[in-house]
Amino acid sequence: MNTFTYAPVAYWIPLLPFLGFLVLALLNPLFKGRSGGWFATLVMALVAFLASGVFLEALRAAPHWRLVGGEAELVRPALSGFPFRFEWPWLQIHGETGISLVVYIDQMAAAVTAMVAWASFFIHLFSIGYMDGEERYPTFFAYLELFTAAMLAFVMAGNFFHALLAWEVMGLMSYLLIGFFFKKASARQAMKKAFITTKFADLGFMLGLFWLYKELGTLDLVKVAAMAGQLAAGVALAIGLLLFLAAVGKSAQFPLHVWLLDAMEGPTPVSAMIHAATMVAAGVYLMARFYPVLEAGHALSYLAWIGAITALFAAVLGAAFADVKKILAWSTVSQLGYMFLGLGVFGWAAALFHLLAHAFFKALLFLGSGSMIHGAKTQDIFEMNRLARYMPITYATFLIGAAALMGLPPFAGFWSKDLILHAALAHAPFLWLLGITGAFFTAFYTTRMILIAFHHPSLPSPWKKAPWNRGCPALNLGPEDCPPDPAPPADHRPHESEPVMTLALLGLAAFSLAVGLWGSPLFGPGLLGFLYEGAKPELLPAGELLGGYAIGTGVALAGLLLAVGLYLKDPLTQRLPDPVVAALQRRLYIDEFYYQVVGRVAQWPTELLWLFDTYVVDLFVDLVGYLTYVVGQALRGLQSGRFATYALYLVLGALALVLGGVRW
Amino acid sequence: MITLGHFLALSAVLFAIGLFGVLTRRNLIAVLMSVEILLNAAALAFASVAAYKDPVFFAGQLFALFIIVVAAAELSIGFAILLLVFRHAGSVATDVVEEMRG
Repeated sequence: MNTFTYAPVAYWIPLLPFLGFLVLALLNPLFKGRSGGWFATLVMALVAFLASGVFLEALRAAPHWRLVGGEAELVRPALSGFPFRFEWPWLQIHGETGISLVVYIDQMAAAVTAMVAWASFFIHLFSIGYMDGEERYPTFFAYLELFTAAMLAFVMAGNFFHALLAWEVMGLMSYLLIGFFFKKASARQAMKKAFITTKFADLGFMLGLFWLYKELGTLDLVKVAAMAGQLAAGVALAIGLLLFLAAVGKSAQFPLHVWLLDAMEGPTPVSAMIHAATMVAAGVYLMARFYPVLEAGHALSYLAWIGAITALFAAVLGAAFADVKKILAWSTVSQLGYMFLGLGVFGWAAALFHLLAHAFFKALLFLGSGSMIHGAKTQDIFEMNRLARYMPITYATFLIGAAALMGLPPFAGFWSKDLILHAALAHAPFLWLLGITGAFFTAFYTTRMILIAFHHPSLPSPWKKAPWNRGCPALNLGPEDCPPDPAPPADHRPHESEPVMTLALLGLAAFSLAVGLWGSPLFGPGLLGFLYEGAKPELLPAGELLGGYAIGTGVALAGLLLAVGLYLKDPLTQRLPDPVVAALQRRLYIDEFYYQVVGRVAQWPTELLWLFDTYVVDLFVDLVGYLTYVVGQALRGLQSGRFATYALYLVLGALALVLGGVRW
Repeated sequence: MITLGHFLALSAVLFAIGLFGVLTRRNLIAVLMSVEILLNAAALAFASVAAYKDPVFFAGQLFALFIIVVAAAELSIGFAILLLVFRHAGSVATDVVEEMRG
């Protein structure tokens, strides 16, 4: 069969959720009860179906690597029409197409599209139950739909300009969703923080694109990739770093990671969405797309350094928190760091593999934490009461996600993280050291979280009274604006969540397992051989990786055992002195530094501009108004209201016309 | 001999009287009467010009007829308004309609 069924209609993948958004937004009041949620989920089911179809066709049509007798060999199917490409003229100037609207689906886009569609589908399904009874229920789903549509449009964009538009829509939707509970001061502050931080980074995206267009005259992915070698090295480096800035902001890498923790103010499915399927993945994806320019400018080492630092730093901080969502947020920052590390050390396919694997297991973990919060009525792991006993499905699926996060074989994170570390060891041993230390802490904080939340009875949370507990200083709010959440009653009996929610958990667990196994070397080149067309991938037979696997497993087990040793008996164990823990919980004061120092310094030029605005711009505007007023005042005497006066004007006017007529 | 000039002079005088009346009288009935004088001045000018300059078609006299009809219509509306003003204000002095400003 030489024809494609789904690929020719692939552009409907982002369009469908956009239409779903329009329906939900415009007919908002008509959706009573849970109907809005079901409608949105059905739309996403359709999208997931279509995306799977496109993915399977890409799988059939794309060149891929096979292991033939221990040697990697590129197999090219005899199918034409791949990569799938659609082009519509757009922004035409005098008949010349300046920028066209391009949908471009190659291996990477097909895989990530399928991942986004499925993860988003499960998040929608979960939200039907999780958001039940909340105000603005259909609006929430409308936002989710547009968020997904923007991510899909971004992934399938064949043109960086088009990608920028989708990227910005995503920024807007994250703003709206983080602030979904806008009645809370902390949610309002968090939404602004996320928006401003990512907007600052997006400046790099725009400037980079302008520069790129000036240099190459095109923003088309394929052409940019082909012409990247023509760029002068310095220019390519500058453009690459500008776009890297955008990715650092979007993917919450150090030092712009600050917004992500506070993004937890949004409803939990939103956290799952931001952390897994959309938003943070976009930064990594952008770098993967931009790879040729990064390589041409030798910018990769910056990615590797930032990624490795973030991976370790976030993993350490994750161990100090008590809020289950914030622990997971740190783990996201940390795992994204691994992806950048992977990209930076030429482990392009490994980083993408980790992106796909992470998306599923992190969505699983976040939805699992949503289920825990739903059942336990608290976000504090100390206050959760022996959840393993009451929530078996949540527990089992959470363990699968956690094992993937820790990097225990044979779960997803094990294969992907190890490939990244393997690449790091080959190119930058010091960064490998940072990465492997991060993996140790990852296992530690994950085990700590599971032990305390699932196995220990409800306890008074030790740090709950601390003024920074809910992130007040990090949000520049006083303690009165973000009071600690009330603890549930001590005898609160958690309950398992309803079937729509557990179904989503089970589905994500299955996907997480499947992606991990497919990417593992157990089944030959598999997923990696599909993703990587450009150059020969390092398709190492399982034997050559064994050393790395042993170290990875050993480190993860060490972290796990340390946490078990510390917390199995007494969850309140604390070996570090209080000020150190406080500093960690205040996120090393980085957020506060931004508010108190960077924010204030940035205010000075703003004040100057304010003066200019007030005393120069406003002066002109006021002057126009004042002149109009004065003239009006002078002329208002003419309008006496007396009929005879008006008649006189009439006569005078007629006379003027007649006399004037005589003169002409 | 009575020339066209005499007629036009009479018309001009009538027009001036009417204009003076419109502008100065404070009684709305008198104003309406002055308007009638204005219209008649115009009608006279039309009719006389027609008689002297257009002995074949007398088109100007047709205008004079029109003016008479229009004057009747104008007067009926004018008086209707005047009646309403009287009912509203109890007077037909021009002072009572001083609210004609924005």
